[in-house]
Amino acid sequence: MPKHNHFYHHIVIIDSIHIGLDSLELEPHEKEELAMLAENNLHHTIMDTVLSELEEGDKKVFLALVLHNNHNEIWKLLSFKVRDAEEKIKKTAEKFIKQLHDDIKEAHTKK
Amino acid sequence: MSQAAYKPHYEHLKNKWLDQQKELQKGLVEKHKDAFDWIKNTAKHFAVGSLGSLVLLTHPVTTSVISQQLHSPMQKKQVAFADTLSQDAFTPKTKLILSLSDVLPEDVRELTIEQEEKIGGILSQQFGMNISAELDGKKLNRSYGIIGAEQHLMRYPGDTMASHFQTAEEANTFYSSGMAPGRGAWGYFAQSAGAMTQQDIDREKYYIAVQTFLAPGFQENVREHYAFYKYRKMLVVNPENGKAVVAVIGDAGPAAWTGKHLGGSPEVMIHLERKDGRARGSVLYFFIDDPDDTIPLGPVEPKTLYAKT
Repeated sequence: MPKHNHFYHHIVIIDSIHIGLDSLELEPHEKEELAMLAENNLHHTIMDTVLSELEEGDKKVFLALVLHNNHNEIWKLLSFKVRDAEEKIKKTAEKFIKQLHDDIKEAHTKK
Repeated sequence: MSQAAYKPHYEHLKNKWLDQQKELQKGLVEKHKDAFDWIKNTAKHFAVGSLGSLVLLTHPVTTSVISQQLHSPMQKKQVAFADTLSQDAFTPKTKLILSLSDVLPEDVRELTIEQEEKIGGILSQQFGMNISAELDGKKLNRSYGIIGAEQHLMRYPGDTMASHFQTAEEANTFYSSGMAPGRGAWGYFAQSAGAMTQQDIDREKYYIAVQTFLAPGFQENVREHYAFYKYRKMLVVNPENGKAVVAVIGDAGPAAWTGKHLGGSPEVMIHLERKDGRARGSVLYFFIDDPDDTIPLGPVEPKTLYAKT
């Protein structure tokens, strides 16, 4: 499955989602589809967390840097503009991934 | 024929996460609307990436949701974009690309005087030179246009492709561009091979052809304009990647019917990374005020020119 190399990939580990999906007895394409949805939703959640911490002008610069996939400059901006940016992103991701696991658990009951 | 088995757990999870995706995307774009409107309008100036890296579009429904959000009228809200860029967190090239993208129009068209002044200010600051669209009361027909690839020019009578290059590497890179059959608009750069100076070599290497004949006032006073434009230094910038070259006006052209607004020597085009399959693309071209002729020709990096010289 093609993976996006997002700026937060070094601090957000999503392997547990793939392991959770493995337990659902899915076809490979089904698993791929669900994994992609999960990653996309996580991405939007992290983007919202970061954007919500930034002023309007900073938001534009941040989006432009994400568009450029310029991870170094993104982290320079965040370290300058957002207190404990890494921690905030990690916390958001952990909370969201936990929610995804709850959803997977609930799906087991629908079998 | 086998039929895929219905899997309620899979369907349940898929529907739940699809609904969630719709809500998240809609919420994200609505909540940060001003910034997403801006990036949508400026994205075309960027050389890499796509809007997909900001908002991941994996389902047709979500595409229309985002499209609907992005096409709503822009809010007239003052933002501190320039303030953000003034910080030291960015490399000069990133600052340049982002600053220009904030001023440039959506499509490649003639700039307004206000836009030219803003861009002249950005370029002057970033490159440490006096740069403007108008100099000594003269300006070209435009300062933002489509550049196309030109050929090498004959530098002196008898200059050929065999004698044109100083190194084998140069020949390997630039031989295929060929040589224009006639002289440039200002004639030969030197009267003979022996009389040719490094300045002549550099002028041919880093030349652009601009539509001097379309410049305001040109037809009314050809001699004065001819003298003004001859080897006039200009900064040529690819706003998509921040690559820039100090070049001279070495020829007149291209014809208006070509759809191009200026031409670049093979060396200029390769540095600007405009030498793709179509060998054309948008660039900014502004005058450099260099009365003492101290600024060297060739590639230039933001904020490094004076350090080099």
